[in-house]
Amino acid sequence: MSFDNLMQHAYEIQQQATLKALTESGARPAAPAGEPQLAPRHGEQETRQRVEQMFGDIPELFQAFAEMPDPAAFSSRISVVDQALKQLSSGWISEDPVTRASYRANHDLDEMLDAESHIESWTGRAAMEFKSNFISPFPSIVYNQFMGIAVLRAALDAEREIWVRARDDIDKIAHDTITALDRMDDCGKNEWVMTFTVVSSVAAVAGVALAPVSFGLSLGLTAVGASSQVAAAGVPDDPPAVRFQGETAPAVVDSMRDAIRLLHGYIAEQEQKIADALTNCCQAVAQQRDSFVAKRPALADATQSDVTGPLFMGYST
Amino acid sequence: MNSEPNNGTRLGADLYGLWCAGRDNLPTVAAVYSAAGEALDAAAVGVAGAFVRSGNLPGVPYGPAYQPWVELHDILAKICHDTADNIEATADALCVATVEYARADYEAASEFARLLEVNGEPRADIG
Repeated sequence: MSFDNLMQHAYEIQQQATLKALTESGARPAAPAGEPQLAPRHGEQETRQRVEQMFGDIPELFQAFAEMPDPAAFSSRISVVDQALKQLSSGWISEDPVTRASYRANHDLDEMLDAESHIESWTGRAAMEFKSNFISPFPSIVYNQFMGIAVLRAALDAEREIWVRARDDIDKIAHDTITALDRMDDCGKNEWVMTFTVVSSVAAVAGVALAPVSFGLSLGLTAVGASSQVAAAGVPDDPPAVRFQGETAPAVVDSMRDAIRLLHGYIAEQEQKIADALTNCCQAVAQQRDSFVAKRPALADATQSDVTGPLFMGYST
Repeated sequence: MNSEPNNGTRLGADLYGLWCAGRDNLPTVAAVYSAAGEALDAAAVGVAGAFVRSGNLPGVPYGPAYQPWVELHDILAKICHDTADNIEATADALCVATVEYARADYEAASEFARLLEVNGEPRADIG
């Protein structure tokens, strides 16, 4: 059994629970369509309707999980964001702050320093400002941009992890329910333990330090990542092991519904961690915008008529 | 330290440096930012479809992380594109300046032309 067969499991649970409940109620299941029907007994039809209604919600409960976000949809985007990280890996930083994955330095960025050597002899105001306001902080700004994109990538990692684990958990709930319905008539207590692995999906990263660009405190960035990939992180929450039981078909299915309700809650908690980290990161970038992007150089707005004047290039020495 | 404005062959050498910065160094860095911005743009195409869920799952339709992810993404993608644009515009200005200085100083223009002949036309390492 696997996640791909989830809806098959759901119908199996519904069918098995219905059969068990009918037996518990002393009613016989209806003959399959097209086959001769059993001679009706008093109240049997009503019992069948009541029991079918009792378990009518089961396919719907699983349908939402069968259509939940696909981890592969995140994987493809993670590899594209990775391309941006590779571009902005300057050699001043080559390590992802969340996963500690290494990126080879993109030496094309070194050309900014080469440009500096060609401009440093020019004395016009805009030329000098370009050196001091754009080229000098460039290494720190590239570093911070890399960090911001790493946080963005790590959030996708974390989201992907939630849905990988949610698939395992909902599949386990289905398996446990089928097994519990099978064993319902055995001697002894019919109970089982469900470990909700989704609770350990997301791990917080202690804080992603930023390179200082101007005077003042640097706030750093809040990040979360997939707990399976985060290198130096806060410990993720322990997956809770919850005990369920049921001695009758309705009781087993009620336990299943409780487990699904818990899974909903745990998924929501984990996603909220990602949302909070991203919201904090947006705020930090907004508050420290100068640490992430240099102001447009005045030189960029020079025209043919004024570019050689003292406000722009001036003269070289 | 010489604070007199360079002219003649000295200025010609400076102009060749400016031309290199405007035609090679800065466009190369701008291309890095364009590529990073394009990668981020590509990552966001249809991203809502990755987050979407239905039925009674929590956070229908996209979950709580989708909106802040898009917001941070858009900020960072804009930063990359703006940086590329700013560097490209600065590179263009350096090239315009080179032509204007050369127009005003025949000897500098000759030296600049000679250096171009000897060293070749600088080109950005794009791609």
